[in-house]
Amino acid sequence: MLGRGYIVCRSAVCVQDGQVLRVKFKQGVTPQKRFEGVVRILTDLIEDGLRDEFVRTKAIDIVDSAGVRGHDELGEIRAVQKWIHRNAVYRKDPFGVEFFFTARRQIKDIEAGRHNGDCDDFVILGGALLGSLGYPVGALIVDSSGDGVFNHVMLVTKTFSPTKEFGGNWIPIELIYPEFRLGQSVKVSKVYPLMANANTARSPVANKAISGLGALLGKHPYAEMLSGFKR
Amino acid sequence: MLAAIPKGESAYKLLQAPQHQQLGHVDLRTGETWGILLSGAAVGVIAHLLWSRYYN
Repeated sequence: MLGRGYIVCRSAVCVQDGQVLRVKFKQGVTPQKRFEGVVRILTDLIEDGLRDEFVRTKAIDIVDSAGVRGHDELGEIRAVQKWIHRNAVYRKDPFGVEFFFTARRQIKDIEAGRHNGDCDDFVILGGALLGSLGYPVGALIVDSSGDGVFNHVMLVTKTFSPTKEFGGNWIPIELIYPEFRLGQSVKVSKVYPLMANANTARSPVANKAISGLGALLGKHPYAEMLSGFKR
Repeated sequence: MLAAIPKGESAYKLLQAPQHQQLGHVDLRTGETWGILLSGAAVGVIAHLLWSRYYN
């Protein structure tokens, strides 16, 4: 679930590879600031995942196991969606705290039979897997309650070759409901797509640490977010 | 038992709005075209001058 206020809080585990980013919300942060921060972390973690060889190896394994032939783009996308539907377990975040799991961590958790995450974690996982297979991916933030507040996130992607079913259109992918097929969604009144940049040269989120003079002076990107929230 | 969650294509339809058509557009132009042309021309001119100097 999106839309709660937060302050980035990085514990020791955050710095290690394939770990969790825990974000705790603070009173007084405007919904817009919260939203901007959440989508930024989301797309950053998708970008980190799609560049991760561990994630790509898993993605290849998923489409191979599903018997998808080469160049069957919709087949690959469907295989990844089904794999997440079958293996990922939806659990809400605690109230006032937002957990973000890296794609690598989620794959390891699935393999160990202890996965849990909410819609934004599912999008990080799906985006990283499909992105690592070369698809353009992004987070599609939606308003599913009709009150003008973005409260849910889906994955969005497209095929390179037009297909009979979707042409060359962008395809929303619902990951938290196993009964939803490609292109289906709950009723939404507003969408806000934010694409991941596969060519980013940014260092991975898990390698960043808010420390030192740079952070104190507000030069670190997450420190900038923090200073924004304090106003 | 929980009721089935209503499904639809509203997100898909909203995504097809004109403002989302350039979403994730990849610009394959690198801005290197003129650099390659000019440096190629420079190499050609230098090669021609050197050839003329030593073999004419």
